[in-house]
Amino acid sequence: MSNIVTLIRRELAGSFLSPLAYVTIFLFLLFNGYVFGEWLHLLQLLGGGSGVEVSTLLGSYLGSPVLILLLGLLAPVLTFRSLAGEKSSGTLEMLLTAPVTDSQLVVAKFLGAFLFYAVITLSTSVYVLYVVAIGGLPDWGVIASAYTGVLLLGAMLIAINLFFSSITTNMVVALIVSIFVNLALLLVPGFLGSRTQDPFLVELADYLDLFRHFQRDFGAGIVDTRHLVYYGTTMALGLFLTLRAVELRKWR
Amino acid sequence: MIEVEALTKRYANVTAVDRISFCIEKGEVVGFLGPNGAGKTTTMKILSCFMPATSGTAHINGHDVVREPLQVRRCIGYLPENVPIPPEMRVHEYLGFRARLKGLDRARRKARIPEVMGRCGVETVSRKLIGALSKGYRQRVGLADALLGDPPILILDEPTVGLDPNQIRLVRDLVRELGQERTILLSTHILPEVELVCSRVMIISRGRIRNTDTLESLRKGGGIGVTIEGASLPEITSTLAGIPGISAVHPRGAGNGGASLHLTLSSDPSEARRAVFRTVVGHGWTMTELSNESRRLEDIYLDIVSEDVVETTDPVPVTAGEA
Repeated sequence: MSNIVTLIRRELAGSFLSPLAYVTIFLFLLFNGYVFGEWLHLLQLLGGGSGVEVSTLLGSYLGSPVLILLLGLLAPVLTFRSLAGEKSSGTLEMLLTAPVTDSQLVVAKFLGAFLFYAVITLSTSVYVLYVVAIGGLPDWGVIASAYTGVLLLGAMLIAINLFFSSITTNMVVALIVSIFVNLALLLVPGFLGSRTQDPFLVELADYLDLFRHFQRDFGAGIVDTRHLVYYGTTMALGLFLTLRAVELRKWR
Repeated sequence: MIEVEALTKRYANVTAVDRISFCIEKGEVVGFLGPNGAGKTTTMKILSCFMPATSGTAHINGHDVVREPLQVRRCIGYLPENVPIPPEMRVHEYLGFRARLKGLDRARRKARIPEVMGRCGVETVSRKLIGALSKGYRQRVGLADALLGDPPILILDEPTVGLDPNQIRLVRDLVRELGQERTILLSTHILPEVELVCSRVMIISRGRIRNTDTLESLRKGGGIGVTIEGASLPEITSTLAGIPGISAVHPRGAGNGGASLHLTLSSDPSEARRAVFRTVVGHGWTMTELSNESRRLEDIYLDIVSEDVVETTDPVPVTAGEA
């Protein structure tokens, strides 16, 4: 356990002592702030200029496709170096000849990236403060469910992207594969659902459609256990495969 | 301390380490000598529990490297080839991180980190980024890391490669000093290094251990140098080669004093010397010089290694490769 804490501290120090963390946070918030402003503007137009329901507003923003797509691109940025970097620089050998087990390393890499992700995404809570400051009454239930969804989605994507980082020594490859796999996970179910009439496929597409999860449930104050199962099992699969990939060095 | 039994490591179609066995006792400083690709690094990676062997066993301090990797890792300090340490960390941060990983509590960290930094001469750069250090300093930071947990065994993979002569001397001095209280396995392909630092040498070539002995007895099993007048060098060479007890004749050239040769002896040296003398007298030649010559490590090494290169008709095709 203390090994995991030590490794996570090193991960976070590595991120926050280098410009990477600050550039990522700065650009993420800048872009998000811009989109959030436009979102407010749009909703005000739709609402006739005044009297917008603050709960609808925040919930709809936190569940908006723009944000979800952005998160799909954020996860690879946080994971592409994790294991591919350790492998290409050889530092993996230093780590795994210290008294550290493979699974401790994988868990620490995952939690390190996830905590960083949490810091970035939770920093958007300034929007909530902003809404309160301009006299709105946020619906705390919606905000809580939206952030739950954002964090769960992040955990799933980070676990999958960690796997791509573990199977290559080339960080750029890990980054690019992760981005496209995330885009596929986000976009394909929606397209699939719209192309078919088969009730089974429609239901499957609905089960996998991440955008719809956020629009319909997380962004509306609902935490559906089916989504928890989907995100949870996919995350577990990602971590399991990552561990296997790290252990693979033993069987070459 | 280190016991290796029939250790084999095969990659897809390459046997990097082929049934090697050896034993290193407490307090020995053993030089692991061999050409590039002989299997040194692979063996060390197995001993440091980075990867398992295909077959065979290795025990360190009584712990099996496969079954008890964490115990093994706690009692060794390992310095991999090229010292892969993260460039974005400062030296003291890195050592603090490593000390935590090795399970040193706060009090021990506070005492141990300055101690190993002093020992390895890196206190002056403790606040520098590792990426900004010269290779010599990085090597010493790696050594400091290896010493952190005060391990009884050190495994050092080519600790002086890529250093300038002054840095090489510093690292060697340090290794020699450390060898007084620890067991050290050190790999190298630099011969003088072994002579300067080690008490015993293991020569490995193409995945097999070809020779292992203390430096003293390696040198003793030498031969004699003779200078003989009265015949041509080839004639003397072929005559002497026929004497029982002489395993090899190395002609060195003919000069004013006669033909000079080095004779490698296989049996009792004093008897062989008499036989040589009698042969020379019997042919009516004059011996102007006869001296005991210890063989240089270089000769022994080159004999073993070049033998392997020539052996193209090896019944078991074994190609060595480094991971």
